[in-house]
Amino acid sequence: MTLFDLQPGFEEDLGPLKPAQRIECPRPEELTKEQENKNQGIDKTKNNVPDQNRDRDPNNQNNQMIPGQSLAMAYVPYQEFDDLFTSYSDALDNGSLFRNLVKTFSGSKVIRR
Amino acid sequence: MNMTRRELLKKLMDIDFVIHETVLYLDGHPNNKKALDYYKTVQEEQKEIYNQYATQFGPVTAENVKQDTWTWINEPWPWQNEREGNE
Repeated sequence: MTLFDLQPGFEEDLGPLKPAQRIECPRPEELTKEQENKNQGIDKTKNNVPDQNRDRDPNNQNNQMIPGQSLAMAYVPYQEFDDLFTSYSDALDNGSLFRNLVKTFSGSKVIRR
Repeated sequence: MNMTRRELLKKLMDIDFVIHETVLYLDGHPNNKKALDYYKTVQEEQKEIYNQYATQFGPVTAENVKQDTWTWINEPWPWQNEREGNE
């Protein structure tokens, strides 16, 4: 199925999206050594080595989806070879030959996760 | 138009960047004729600027020596920065 196969009203069939549930996480400095090891997948009973498969384990509580969380869909359009900077100097100054790739950072704050 | 060494070097950096950007685009869009034509045009222009620089101020790389003597050693070494008066 491609994006073009989607019928109008497809989104309505999914029902309204629910906002993601907010989870209060302790700050890194508030974690106990045991919690820190658990987050890093370190099991003290197994040679203290990070568990490489923990991210693939569906039974791992950390890998389970937050209730009500929606999936994300990424759409990357085909990049046309147009809208170029005519001045090479402007291209270097802006860090891109393509005008439409010059994105000004407009974020205002960083959110701790 | 006579350009200073610094101006010409900046021009070289600009065009090198544009070529690099075009190469990256072509890596992802190898059949884009417009991009390939642009690449060829800019590449020709780059050669001209390299030649102009090499003739006026000396080689950019050892392979660019155009004079009758080995002028490569006259150039500042990469670790000699502008503070040493190499502008």
